[in-house]
Order: sequence, then C-alpha cells, then structure tokens
Amino acid sequence: MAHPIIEAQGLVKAYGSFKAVDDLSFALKEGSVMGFLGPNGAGKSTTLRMLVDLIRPVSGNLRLFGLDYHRHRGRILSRIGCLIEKPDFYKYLGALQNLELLGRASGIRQPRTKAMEMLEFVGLRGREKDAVSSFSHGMRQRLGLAQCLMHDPDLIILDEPGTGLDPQGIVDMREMILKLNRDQGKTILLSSHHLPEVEAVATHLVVMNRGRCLVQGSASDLLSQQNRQIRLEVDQVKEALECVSSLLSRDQYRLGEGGVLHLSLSRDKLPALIKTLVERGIAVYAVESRQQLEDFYMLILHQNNQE
Amino acid sequence: MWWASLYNESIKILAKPRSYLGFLAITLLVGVILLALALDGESYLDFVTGSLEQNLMIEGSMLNGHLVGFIVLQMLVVHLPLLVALVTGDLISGEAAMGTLRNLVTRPLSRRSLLLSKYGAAAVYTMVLLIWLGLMAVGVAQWIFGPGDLAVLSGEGLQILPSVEVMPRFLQAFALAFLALYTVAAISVTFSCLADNSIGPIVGTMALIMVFTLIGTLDVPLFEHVRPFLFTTHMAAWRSLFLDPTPWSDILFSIGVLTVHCVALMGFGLHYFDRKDILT
Repeated sequence: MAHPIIEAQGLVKAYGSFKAVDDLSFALKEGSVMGFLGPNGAGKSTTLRMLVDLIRPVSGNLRLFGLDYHRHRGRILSRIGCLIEKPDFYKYLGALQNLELLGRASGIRQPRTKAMEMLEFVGLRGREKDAVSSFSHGMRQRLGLAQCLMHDPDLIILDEPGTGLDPQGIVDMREMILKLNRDQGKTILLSSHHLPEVEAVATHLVVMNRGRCLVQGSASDLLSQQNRQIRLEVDQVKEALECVSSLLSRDQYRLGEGGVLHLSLSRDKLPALIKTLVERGIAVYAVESRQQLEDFYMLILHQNNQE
Repeated sequence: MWWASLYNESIKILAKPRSYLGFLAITLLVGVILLALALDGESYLDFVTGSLEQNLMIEGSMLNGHLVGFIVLQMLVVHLPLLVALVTGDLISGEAAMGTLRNLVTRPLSRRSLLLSKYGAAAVYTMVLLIWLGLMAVGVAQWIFGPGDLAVLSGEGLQILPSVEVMPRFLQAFALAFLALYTVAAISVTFSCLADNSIGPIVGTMALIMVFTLIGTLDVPLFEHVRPFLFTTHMAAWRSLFLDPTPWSDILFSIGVLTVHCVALMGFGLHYFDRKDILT
C-alpha cells in the first residue's frame, strides 16, 4: 500500500488580511503524479513554497514523508527536488559549475560526477562549460530539472515546467516526467496551466481556487463523474435538435458550426439518445465522445465562481 | 555542510566581476599615493612637520617605507567600508534578486548554516582585501622607499618608533582594522537579509556609517553618552597601536564594542533569516 508523501491539514497562509491559502488539506501518495491546478492567484505557488519551506504557514499541519518540518527540515528537504517558478541560476557561472554548487549544498560527495550524469539525462551534455547567460529558456528549464534531480529525490515538485518551451520541448519534458515516475518510481507534484500536459501525466488531481481546495482525488475517478462532451453529426439537424431538446435540458446542448450538435451528458445516457434519433429516421454520421480535463476544470471553476 | 557552503560562497565571490573592483581601486589609489610621495614626499613632510620645526631639528629624512605605509593606511582605511559593502551587501539580496536564493534555501542545509557561511565568506573577502591593502601599502612602500624608524604625530607630539618595532605593530593594526571592517561587513550582510535588491543594503550600510560618524563628531551633550558605543568611533582604533606606550585599555574597549556589534548583528540576521518568507 502506498504511503502518503505529503499530508497537509488545514494550511493557512495570510499576508495581512489576505489569505493566499485558506484551510487547505490534501494528501499525495507515493508513486503518484499529482496535477496541481487552479487559476492565477489560486494559491498554488504559495502552497508549493510551503512544501519546500520557502514560506511558513501561519497555521495548519504539514508532514512530508511522515516527518514534521519543525524537527526534520534537513531530512525532508534532502528527499525533495523542486523547480519553483522559473529556473534561475548564477549567470556568470557555467552549467556544470551551477550544478556542482547546488550538489555541494545538497551534501553530495562527488558533485561533478553527478552533475555530468544529470546534464546527460536532460540532454545538455556538451554545453556544460557554457555560461548559463548564453542558454535559451528551454535549456534553462532543462538545467532546472537537472538541479532538481541532482540529489536523487523521492518527491519532485515542478511549478510550470513547460512555460516558455516550444512544442518539442513540452513533449520532451512530458516524456522526462513520465520516465521519472514509471522507471524510477518518483512521486511528482506538477503545477501547470497547460492542461493537456497535466492530463497526459497526472494520476491524481487537486484543483484550487481562492486559496481553497475545490476537488481532489484520482484523475480517472474525478473525470468519470462528469458529463462527457459529445459531438454529433446528423443528416436532419432541425429534427435532431427537436429530439435532443425533448430529452436534455437547455444547458446540455448547443448547435455548432456546420450543423454539428454539441451535447453534454453522462456516458450511460448516450445509447438511448442515439437509439431515439435513429428510430425517428435521423441518420447519425458520427459520434465523438471526449472527456477532457479542460472541460472538467472549467466546470469546477465555473461552479465555484457562482457560489 | 557548512564548509561546503563556505566553499560555494567563495566560488561565487571569485566569479563575480564586482569582487575585483575593490582590489582595482586599492591598487590605483595606493599607486597614486606612492607615486605622489616618491615624487614630492619631502614637501609633503615639510608641510606636516612645519609647526614642529620651531622646537625641533630634524636631521636626515623621515620618509621611508614604514611612514609611507602608515600614511597610505590612514588615507585609505576610511574608503574601505564602501568596497567591503559593495560585495558583502549583495550576498543575500543579490541572490534574492537573481532568484537563486530559492535554490539554496530548498537544500538540506539549514538556513542558519547558509547565512553563517555568508558571514564567513564576508570575513574571508574582508581579510583578503585588507591583506591586499597591506601588501600594497606596506610591502610595496618598503620596496620603493626602504625601511626606517616610524615618526608618528599624536596628541602628545611626535613619537619615533624604532624600525624593528614597526612591523609587529602593523600586524596588530591590521588585525584591529579587520575587526572594524568586519563590523561593516556584518552590517551589510544583515541588511542584505532584509532586502530583495542589491543596492539597498550597500546604500543602507553607507548611510548608517555616515549617520553614526555625524553623531560621533557633533559636539552635542546628548550624544556624549552614546558616542563611545558607536562602532564608527572605533573604526580608526588601529592607529592607537602606533602610540608609545600603547593604550591597551582603550584598544580592548574598542575590540569589545566592535565584537558586540558583530555578534548582535549576526544574531539578529540569523533570527530574521530563519523566519523570513522567501517570495522572490
């Protein structure tokens, strides 16, 4: 049975009267990849900073690897690798020197060997002596991942790792995350606004808004609870629309471009709808059913904003 | 881990171009002073000792390497705080501005150890800068002008220190000057903990020195009780080491005041930095 790596209970972080994080509780199990979602200002970065002791909660309980931060800060941080916000390095030093320096700060005995290994892993071998100031954003992002992995952490926290990357860079980053999780068993907490990227890798989700956790749980469970987005192509659009309107409420369907019907309904209601359409003599050319994280995320936020 | 962190800090200081500004400035200033004294040192001495010549007849030349070294130190020690603050004021705030402080604080090394390594690096830099000043001021001056007895003007008149006694006194003076300059470094590193930009701690340190110096020089009864406890009052205490007899009780008091400043500043810095939210 997987142990909880992160246990956050009632975390609060306030700046004056403003609560950036308000009574946040969540847990992350060993070996999982958690997608940490929310709009700007939701409190994601504040939470991530609390997880790596950059900032301290004003109240609440935070345990990592079953240990308390007050007593075991060093032990906890020796098992965490993080890339918070953008990858910043000493621009006047080379890539290798930067990694060596951070390796020494992590207590690695032979930082040069480990740094070269990491540069190889992130595809920067051959550029180790170049000053970081000459690196593109994508290369710095890779170097950020390398520094995060230098001390072989069990938990990897990535805050917007895909920001500024080109499409190939995003794919490469996703592949690296999957490799770390599947091949090396690393637990990963991934905060990102790029939902397809999260959807491709996350096994668990947390959605935050206004400092609070709106939903959390297994990605498959959360997504299956929601209505599916159906794209329907038929020959008699007007008749089909009448039929749909008799079966669904107004907010569950709309007519799109080219006479395509867009429906929102649960998976088990779809066969009955198709049957009714066919019985009324309407030819169904195509049925496309999708369940995207983006739809789920927008719905959750929409509901929360209306409260 | 602390030694590893101190090593890291030293590498960073060595790699930063601004670290060499101090050495360049000292080299240029000392070069200019030595050149001036080599070309027209006797006139300068006549000007300084002019008032004594009514009661005293001086035979031969007082101008030698020891005296030139002493003059250079007197002229330059007041400028060193700026050169020290330029590098040490950047140690934490510069990292905060660059965003690299996040990388360091999320390592297993405790925040206190991290900051102590910064204070340690500030000590190493201050020491190396002073050694450079010593080599330039005393070493090069001796090479150009040769050794000799040191004539020192004090409140009690002109004192002549035999040549053999001068070098040990220079070493003691450098040790005391180090403590005074390290107090400046401790101020700027502590200010550096409070700020997220590089300029603030440097300007803040210099402003504090100016304010304290002003309080120390203003002849206002209100400040009389405060003056002995200001670090700026003891910045030039190293000069007392060239007096005969050496006023050891005054020097020990100066060492005490400067040490208390250093310890208090470091204590505050450690307490503050340990609890600081890193938001950059």
